[in-house]
Amino acid sequence: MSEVAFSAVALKGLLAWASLWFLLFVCWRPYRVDAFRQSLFNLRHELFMYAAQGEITFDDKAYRELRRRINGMLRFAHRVNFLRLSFSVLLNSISPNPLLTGPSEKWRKCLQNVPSGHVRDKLTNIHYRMGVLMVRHMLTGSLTLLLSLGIYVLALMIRRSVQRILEFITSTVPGLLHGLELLESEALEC
Amino acid sequence: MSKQDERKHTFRLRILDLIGSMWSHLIPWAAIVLIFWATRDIIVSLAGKSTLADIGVKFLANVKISDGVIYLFGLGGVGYGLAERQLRRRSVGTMSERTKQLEQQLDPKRSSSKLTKRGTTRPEDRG
Repeated sequence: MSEVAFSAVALKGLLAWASLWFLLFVCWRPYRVDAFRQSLFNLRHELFMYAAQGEITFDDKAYRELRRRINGMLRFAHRVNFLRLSFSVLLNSISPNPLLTGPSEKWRKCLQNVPSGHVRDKLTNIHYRMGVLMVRHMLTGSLTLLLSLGIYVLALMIRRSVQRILEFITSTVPGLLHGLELLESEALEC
Repeated sequence: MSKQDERKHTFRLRILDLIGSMWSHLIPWAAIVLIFWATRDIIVSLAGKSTLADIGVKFLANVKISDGVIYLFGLGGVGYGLAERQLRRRSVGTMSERTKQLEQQLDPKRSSSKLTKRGTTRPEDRG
């Protein structure tokens, strides 16, 4: 291959990597944040409609606090990542930060003051679903986390499969159960 | 909590924030450095030996029609995606104001996400 032809191939490679970079950091990354925000907007709308139907008043502290929390997440959705979560948990376990734990306690207190059980359940459910959305957002954004999850799921599947195979063998192999009972009896006699 | 404690905890939060945002900015830049590092040897070995025009002509000469269609498809797809994103953001900008007005009729103390009208991060919140 001539020098110029080799350079052309190298240029092609460089262009391919640059295109991938563009796709990943200019297209996909902002899309993930937009999609996360859209799901949060849907959740906030659901909360609004729940209050609009008269299930809870718009002035209720729990309603206001939950809406404030969703709004906060909407505002800083671009900052939600696995590294930040890990550091927050790590730093808070070394030295608890009241600025991090305070808002959660405030939310729990507001929730406790809701008189109706089904309203409390609904607000808890919306808050829980916000957590699920955050986890999904972090998972799709972290290759390390995605690989770890893949390995974990694979290990879980193998474990369950082995368990099922053992159960199948125990229940179907003729005479095995009887043999096991004999072994148990021998152990008792010894 | 005393003011000193509050300052200390706020400082810690800022550090956490700084680490998080540095990480977010570091990854794309690290990827650029990695791409150039991987192609560095080729660029250095060819420095002064052949002109960019030579390489460009050879590159274009090697592009087959089928390759060209693939490039066009990729570029078109990305362009289409970006145009759709702009369109969606413009629609959000138009509709969000109306939603806000309607919601405020029921909930005058309605709190906001403080995003831009187009639903994007405010410049002062980036970082």
